[in-house]
Amino acid sequence: MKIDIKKLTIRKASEALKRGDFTTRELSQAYLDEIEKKNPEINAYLEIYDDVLKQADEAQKFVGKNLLAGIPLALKDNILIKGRRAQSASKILSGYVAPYDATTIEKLKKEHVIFIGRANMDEFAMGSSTENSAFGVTKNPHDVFRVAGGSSGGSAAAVAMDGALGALGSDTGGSIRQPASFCGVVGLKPTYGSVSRHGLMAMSSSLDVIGPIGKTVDDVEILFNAIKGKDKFDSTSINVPEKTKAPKKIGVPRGLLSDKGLDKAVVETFNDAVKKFKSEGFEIVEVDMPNLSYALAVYYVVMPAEVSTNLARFDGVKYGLHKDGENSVDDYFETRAAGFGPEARRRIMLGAYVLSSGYYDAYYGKATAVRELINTDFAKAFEKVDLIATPTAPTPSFKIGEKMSDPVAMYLADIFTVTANLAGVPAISLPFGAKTDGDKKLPIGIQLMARHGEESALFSAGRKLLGEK
Amino acid sequence: MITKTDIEKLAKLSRLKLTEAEKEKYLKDMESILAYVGQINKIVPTFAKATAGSAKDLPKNVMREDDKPHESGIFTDALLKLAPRSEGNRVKVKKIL
Repeated sequence: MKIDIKKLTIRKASEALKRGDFTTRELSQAYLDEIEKKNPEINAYLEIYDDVLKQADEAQKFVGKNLLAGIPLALKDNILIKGRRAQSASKILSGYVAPYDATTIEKLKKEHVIFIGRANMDEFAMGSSTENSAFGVTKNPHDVFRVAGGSSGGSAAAVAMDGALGALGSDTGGSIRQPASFCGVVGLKPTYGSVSRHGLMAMSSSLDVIGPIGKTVDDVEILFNAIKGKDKFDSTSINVPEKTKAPKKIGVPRGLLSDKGLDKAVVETFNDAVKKFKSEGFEIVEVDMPNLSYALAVYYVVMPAEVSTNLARFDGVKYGLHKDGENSVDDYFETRAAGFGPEARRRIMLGAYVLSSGYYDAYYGKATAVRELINTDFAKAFEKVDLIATPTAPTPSFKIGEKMSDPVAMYLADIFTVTANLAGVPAISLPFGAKTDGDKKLPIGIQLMARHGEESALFSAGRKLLGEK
Repeated sequence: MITKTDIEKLAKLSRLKLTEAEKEKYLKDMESILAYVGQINKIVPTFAKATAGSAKDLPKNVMREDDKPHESGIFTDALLKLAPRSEGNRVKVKKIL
């Protein structure tokens, strides 16, 4: 039978497989066909694995036993699968083949999912548009002159173009939610530590988390439940509760929304979402979170500090690219200059600057203190409300090239998302409304944030906003 | 105020070779980024001790017991295969002394 992948979700596909409407091989083939049609233009995938149908045949045996058996997924290029290439869309990891499975991959293998291929991203997850990939930008499936967002742009575009039923991304400052918002799909940044980072290439270790992208809240919840949990290989990992009490009050930090950089369509859509929440029975409360306006500045100190530390390991000795210099130390300079793109270099140097002895107090020391104040803002707000709502991004997707010459303009795309990473709280981006631009509809995302470990509150409110059962 | 000499120093600390044009470009970029992040110096934080929510098991450092090591050598081949230069069971680098 012809599979209508446009309307398919993980839940529906799983039920159809169980009924025998189609086989895992037919399902995977349908996605491979769609990828062949669309990927040359969109560039969501850096590599399509050559054993997809073999994986599908194996998965067929587990249909009916595992909910995710036979479900085709895209994986961000910074998550390791044993024996497969992974390079964070960077030249410095050319030829790298992962020697072990990330914990999330190990868990998904037990569910017998299908790994379709490696999704494009900004180099080492640094960027908001996928323009920092060493392998070209990922275009937005809703308008190919615009970016898919970043850094998990490939993962979000893969789902949006029907090149996978779901995807894994990583989120350090908005890298799952912002591309999900730009591509009109659902993206979850889980509570810090709720998903193991073992086998995720480290960018900023106090902020990084792996999370799912899907077409529905239900699909994202299914994927989250499959990958979460405490792991002996990640000492910061924790277990989160299955169910928490249903959310009733939603806080809106109005102070944050007065920013001039906000697109009018985003403000209108956000107000519509608030109305919808009200009609669904939620109480809307204004919350005062004065230190959130410093979040982006704090983020751009803490994150590069950790980046410069984490990326020090790429030296051309242990793995990846090697360029010869005059001597051993010169090899490092040559290798890193040839291997890292402009944004990676910018952040490595920025990190070295904010950590240097003369500036440590003014930048890194200060930023960690302000980060604590942001945590306090969240703690106080969550005494009054169960959820906090903002737009996911200040604008819909922007044009390719528009922000590449101005790093600060690009960084501002993360203004609403970095706060959840600094505080470690879970947050979700929900596709709600769109901005009409000529004959194009540019998706807009609404962000909800919840207390640590209360993903279930995000799912229940998200379902109500999107009208899912 | 950040200067070109600072950029050269940072590039050296970061083990990055930069061309003259790149130095100029990064100087301009860093100036605007530092001007933006510098706004954190406008507030005097009180070191508040608080965390959002009520989760009991917030992330904390957990050390592994320093015993029961894995059998020596079982990962050597897999890891050495990744090194651009190796010889025998060693990673090969240029002469240092």
